[in-house]
Amino acid sequence: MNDRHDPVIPIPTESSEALSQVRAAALARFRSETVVVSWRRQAALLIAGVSGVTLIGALVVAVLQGPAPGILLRVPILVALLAAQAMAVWGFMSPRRSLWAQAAGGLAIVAGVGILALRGPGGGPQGAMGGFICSMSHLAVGLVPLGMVLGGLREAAWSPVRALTGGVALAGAGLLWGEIACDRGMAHVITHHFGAAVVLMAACWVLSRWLPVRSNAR
Amino acid sequence: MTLVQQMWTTTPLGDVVAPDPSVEDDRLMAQFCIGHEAAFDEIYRRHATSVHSFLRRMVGQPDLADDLLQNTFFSVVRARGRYLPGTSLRSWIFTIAANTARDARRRARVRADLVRAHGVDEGSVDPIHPDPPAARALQQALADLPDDQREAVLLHKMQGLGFAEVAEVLGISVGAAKVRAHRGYEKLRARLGALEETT
Repeated sequence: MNDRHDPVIPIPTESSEALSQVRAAALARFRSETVVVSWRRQAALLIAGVSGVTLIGALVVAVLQGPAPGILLRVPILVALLAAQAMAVWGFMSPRRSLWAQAAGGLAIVAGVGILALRGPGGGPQGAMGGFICSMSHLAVGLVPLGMVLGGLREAAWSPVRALTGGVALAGAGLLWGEIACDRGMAHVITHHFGAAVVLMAACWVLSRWLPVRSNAR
Repeated sequence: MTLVQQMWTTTPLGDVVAPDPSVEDDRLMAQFCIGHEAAFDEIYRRHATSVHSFLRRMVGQPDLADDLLQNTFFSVVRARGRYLPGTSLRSWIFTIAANTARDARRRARVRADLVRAHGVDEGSVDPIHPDPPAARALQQALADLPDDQREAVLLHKMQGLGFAEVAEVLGISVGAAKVRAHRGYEKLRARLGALEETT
């Protein structure tokens, strides 16, 4: 043990009783938590869960409402959104300061630009109610993924980067559904789709900061 | 043969060679992950005292430090699947301890009114073990440092971690760790210099 001490500062008198009590408590915890799940397995399960919910929801919307016109043109964007979502989950679950989080953010921005480019400038909101419904749907479809992402974020110490990356994963779900169900113009997308995505990201940040974590590991 | 004895290797000429720390850490953690209590005990024996000392200096309250040590080792148990083989176990545990202390201080700030109502003075000097005046002044000066600088100073100066390890624990670059510690030392020097002049 390379533990050196400044002679000016007295070493606090370590309470062996306290150390023994902590050891006993930690050992009891160790005996009760026998299953070790690697972070990779947790991340893979979370990706399956978040992507699965997003895809199932998208299928339901497509079947019930019928896909938006020109959906085939948007397939690359849908793929990019799903990839960004998966990369974001992997990024915030990883104990390393990995490039996945940055890559997910970059891909999400590219997908956002693509969404705007394909929508074009026209076709604004068709009345306040139409836009409101889109925003509410966006928020509603993000609720289940929000719960899943918060569960994943709680597995390790909170950090701004992790919270933001979790938000990117959430934003992906709503944006993907929006691409399938809505064909309105750029102004509508910015206000009601991107706006709702920002609200979800903010909710993810605030809730993850507030909820107690299950471990303070990185 | 005990777990620790197994980690020492013997050359063909019979010389006993100390193990590579990271290999040793990996073996300990591997045993820990498959449920060996001996591995847990060894990890606890090696790191609990220095982590406890770090936490006491970080929060200045012995009882709170005991709670944080417990939370730190609960996190070690819970998050053992997040340990990355090939990395320093000491840095990993100190990272958890630093995060635990930071989280506790943040939550204490949020509950500041409640804490004040119960008469707990955050960052106060341990009342059970009165220190000599110089040490008390230094401990108070440490408590007055911003969290990030205090962490860097304590980890480097008191716990003996190299700047590379300090950087790993705090999740910053080596350069940033040096800057934080340097700024902390400068503030300590200024504060203690001013105290000396007044006495």
